[in-house]
Amino acid sequence: MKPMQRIRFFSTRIVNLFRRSTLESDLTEQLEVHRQMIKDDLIERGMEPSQAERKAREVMGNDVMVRELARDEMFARFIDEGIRDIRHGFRSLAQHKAFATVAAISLAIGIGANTFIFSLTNSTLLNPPGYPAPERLLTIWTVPDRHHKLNPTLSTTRSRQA
Amino acid sequence: MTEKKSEVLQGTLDLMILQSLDSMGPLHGWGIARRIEQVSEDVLFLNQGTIYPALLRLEQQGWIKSEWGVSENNRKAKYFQITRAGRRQLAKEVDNWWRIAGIISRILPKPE
Repeated sequence: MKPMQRIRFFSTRIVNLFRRSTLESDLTEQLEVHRQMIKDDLIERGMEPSQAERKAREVMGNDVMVRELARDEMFARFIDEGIRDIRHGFRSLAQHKAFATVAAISLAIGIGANTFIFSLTNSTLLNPPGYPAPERLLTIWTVPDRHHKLNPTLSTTRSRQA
Repeated sequence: MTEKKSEVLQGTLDLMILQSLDSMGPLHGWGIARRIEQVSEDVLFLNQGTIYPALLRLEQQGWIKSEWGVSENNRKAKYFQITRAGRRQLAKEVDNWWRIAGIISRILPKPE
């Protein structure tokens, strides 16, 4: 396939995913009409209706296979099937609520523990802060009180630390 | 129908559809199937449903176009028509077919 053809090939098939129901019902209608036409023709030639119906189905071939082949031509199968797999996954999770909950919790604990250990290791062993004695680092904040109207200075903070 | 029917050779259905549309003008699916069977004098075994995937393929390649119409028996049916690009493709495929058939017929022995 030439590059331009390839682009058209895939873009049509992706666009078609959004017109899925129209395309599918189009196909169903065409297959139905075709079968009816065979049947009408057989009846006109003197076949009994029930027999004509059976014969028409036989002449059309395997309906499921025909539809599958048609879908291969219409849609990008890998995307289509991917979407179907995801839907199926969600549906079966919804059906097995206990399993889904246990799975979600164990994932949460697993990921949480990993993140915690990594951030600890990363900040102490792998990338320690670039100054001496980081363990003596403090955060200082002030709480307003009645006796000290002004913001405390470093010396008042020190004297109060005891 | 005791006569043995031949299966449609892989990849030749597209070619037969294009040829049918080229010689007959616009046809619906059943029209195409009937044409192929008549021309083959009913010795070709064709699952008529498989025409539709082939039609979709041909349409996507721009070799045929389709539109809804009304059949001779007043049924709503989709009619297919060969395009200019389709005719070019058909000519190419016909050349190719005879070249390959020529080569193979020189290799295989004639039946007794």
